[in-house]
Amino acid sequence: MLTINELTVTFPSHHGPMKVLDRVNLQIEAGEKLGIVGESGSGKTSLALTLMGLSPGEVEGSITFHGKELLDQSSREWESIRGGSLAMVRQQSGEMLTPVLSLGKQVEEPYLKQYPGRRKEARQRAIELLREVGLGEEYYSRYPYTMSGGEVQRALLAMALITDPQMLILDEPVSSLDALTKEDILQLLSEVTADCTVLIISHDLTTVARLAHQTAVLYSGMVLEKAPTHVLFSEPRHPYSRALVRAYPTLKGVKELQGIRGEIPSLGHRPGGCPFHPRCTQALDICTRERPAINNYTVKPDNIDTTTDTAAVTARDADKEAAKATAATTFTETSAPAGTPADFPVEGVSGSRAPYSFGRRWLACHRGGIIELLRGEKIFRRYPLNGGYLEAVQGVDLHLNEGEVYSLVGESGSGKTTLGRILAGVDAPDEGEVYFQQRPLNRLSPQESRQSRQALQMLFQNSGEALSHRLNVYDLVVEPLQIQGLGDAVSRRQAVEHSLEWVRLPRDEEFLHRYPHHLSGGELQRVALARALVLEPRVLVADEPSASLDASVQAKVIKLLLHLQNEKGFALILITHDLALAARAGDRIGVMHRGVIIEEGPSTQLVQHPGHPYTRRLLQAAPSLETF
Amino acid sequence: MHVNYWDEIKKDNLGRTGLLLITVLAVVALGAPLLAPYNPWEYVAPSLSPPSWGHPLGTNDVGQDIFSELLYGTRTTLLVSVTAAFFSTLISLVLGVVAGLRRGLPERLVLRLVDVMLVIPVFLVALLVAAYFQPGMTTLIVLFSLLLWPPGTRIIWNRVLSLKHQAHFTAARQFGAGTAYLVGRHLVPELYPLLAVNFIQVVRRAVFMEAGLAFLGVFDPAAKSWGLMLHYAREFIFTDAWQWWLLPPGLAVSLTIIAFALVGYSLEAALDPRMRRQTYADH
Repeated sequence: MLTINELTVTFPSHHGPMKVLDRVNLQIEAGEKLGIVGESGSGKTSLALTLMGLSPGEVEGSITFHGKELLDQSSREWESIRGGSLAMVRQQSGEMLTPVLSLGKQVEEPYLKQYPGRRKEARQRAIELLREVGLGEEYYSRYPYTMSGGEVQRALLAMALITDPQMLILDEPVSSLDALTKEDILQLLSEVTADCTVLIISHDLTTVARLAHQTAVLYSGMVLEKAPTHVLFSEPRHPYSRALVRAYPTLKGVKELQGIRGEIPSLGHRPGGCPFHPRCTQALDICTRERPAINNYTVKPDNIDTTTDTAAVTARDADKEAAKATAATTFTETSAPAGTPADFPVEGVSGSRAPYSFGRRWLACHRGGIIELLRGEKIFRRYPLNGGYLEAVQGVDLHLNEGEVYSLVGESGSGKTTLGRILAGVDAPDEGEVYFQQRPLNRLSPQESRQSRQALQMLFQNSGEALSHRLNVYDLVVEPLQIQGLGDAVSRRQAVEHSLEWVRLPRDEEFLHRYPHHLSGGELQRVALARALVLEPRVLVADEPSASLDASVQAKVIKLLLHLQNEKGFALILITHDLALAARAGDRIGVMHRGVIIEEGPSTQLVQHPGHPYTRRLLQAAPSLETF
Repeated sequence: MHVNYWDEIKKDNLGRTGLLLITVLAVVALGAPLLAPYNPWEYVAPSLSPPSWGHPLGTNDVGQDIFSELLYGTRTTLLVSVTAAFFSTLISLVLGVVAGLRRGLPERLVLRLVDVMLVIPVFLVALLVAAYFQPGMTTLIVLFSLLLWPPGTRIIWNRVLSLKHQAHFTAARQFGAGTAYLVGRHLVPELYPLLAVNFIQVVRRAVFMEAGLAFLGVFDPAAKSWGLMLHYAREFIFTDAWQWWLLPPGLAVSLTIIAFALVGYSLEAALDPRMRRQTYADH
């Protein structure tokens, strides 16, 4: 119905032209509801205004509506389109109404513009619509300044609907409303727009989740990912989509909120290549130079809860081909490997999900979306014990994605630490293989092995023991750099100071010359963390990082760890016996019992719908302050 | 666990006494030519003179000043025992670390060799070999170094086995450290206290063996050594000369052994947390 093709909008400015939209391609079928999400400044409103022919900037590309090219229309023709087949409800609703006219007059206005002179009909239709949006007849003669925000929003909706538009554009329809009013309006919107084609633009993910079949993620004027809404929110594939979902608070979500590292670029200084690359944790050189092409993946209806390897394979292929500029190709996607967070009420579009809710996932990423960093396949490890063997790890498969937090939970003796050490490359498995960035960890050349040691770090269970008591703080933190032979004295010193700054430890001479026995438990843990971070690893395996600390210090250490995980963008395997902590920190949780991962899944899902009896027992035993 | 061993020894009365004695012995050994009133190889007075102001311990059967002999004897004793202890400890360290880190054949070889060496009566072997090789200081140093390493090796091997599984070794390994780095930066420093204890024990044994061999006459007859003094004085025990000829070197040997033993005990106490807690409780 509406096709947007290579739409580019440029504003002139003192600093040269600012691209607000950069070659946007979107399609909306009749009856479909498309959501567009993005941070403020991503170009959402510019897109809406351009669709309405109201963009003050220079517009290139094409927008066809029912086969008609909109960008070629004269301003007179635009007026009739705006009043008739396209209507818009804009943000900051209060300012849209003039205080000098009664509400009824303003609601009628678009109708009268379309059909001049048919006053009676207009009045009748306005009253009808006011009722429909839940305001009632008496509002016809009220003035906008006597109305609440929610009422104004309803009135605006009535105003948009009065010409019976074929397509409705909702720009932040409920953003400034309180939760209950918002809920009412959302309910109203999903009712009155049931047969309409709708474009919903919002930074509020729940609005889009409630209303849209398909959702596109807009960033700095570019569509980075587009997929059926429930798929996008439960399994985002683009690092930005995942970050967006992670940053959003929901009641059901158990994971700690995380902001997106860095700042959204100002329009005047759009980064070249992929606009997200300065904030992306997996950016390659190519991401800074070339604009990623949109790749097309098919999302099958029956794949929502299955987990297979195909997605990882496609990501792997994409990774290999990252050096080449890829043309739009079609991969078959099963489940995305993306680690995923919160629980969105995507069931909002109830019943009407098909046929729009499946179909294609568009992804604009040189690396094929979030890549897989670490993969353990069929890992076995046994220790000799009383003549026999203790099977510490018995055939574990596990993968870790870029920038993901994976919590490994289990009671002591379940094999967590053994598995963690194997994944970190500290110990070798008896059977099975660990792949780091698709390369087998235990069969690397010495050179590669050294490099992998830099990228894979482990924080040991008892940090006090992992720090030699003969070395002072400076020597401890600089040691990894010395071993790796990185930098000279000056740059090492700087690296040590940065690292200590990250973990919020003092950097003065006095502190640098302290020995471990002069430090508190929390400080020791942070020195150990600084030591691991000084090499700027891609993966950190943290083994019970807070087990021996009291609650307040534990909270600080964990918060710090997660903050750094977000800022530095490394992937984290958090080994803990504490399910509450695991759920707070992890995107995904793996429950380990007697050497096997018995259950694995997104934190929220696992905590709310545990499948395995053992997980349920762990949940019951999870720390709680409730008293009986 | 971080312990400042030096402080522990200084705090301990026995350790302090030992250190004081060793210091005195070292000063005497170094300053013998300045402190000695006479050249101990020259005939300076009638033989077998009793003590006098000129000769505090009298003279021996060939008229040499016994006090000067005693001072020069300190040099021999300390030089032989300390050098032998150094080399013997070095051998223990190398073999112990190799055995501890390279399990399998190297470990088995070292441990069996230690077992064999431990059943050999060291003193007897030393006596025979020294007698065969025209005993001098160098011979004794080499001999002691080669005979006294086994107990230390076993202790160090044992310690390496437990140390190498400590988290900070694993941590260093996982930063990409090689064996040489691990041994040099982490392992050997951890062994310092153990090496010190071992060193002191070997010194004690070497002092005793040196004196014993010399007493039995297996030593360069021209050298000045406490054992040799005892050897010569033995023939004159029927005269009064034993009081100033036999007794002083005997006391000197005992004192040296006691001095090292005291420091050794004190260091061991510092190493053993249980013993240390007791001493703290006493204070």
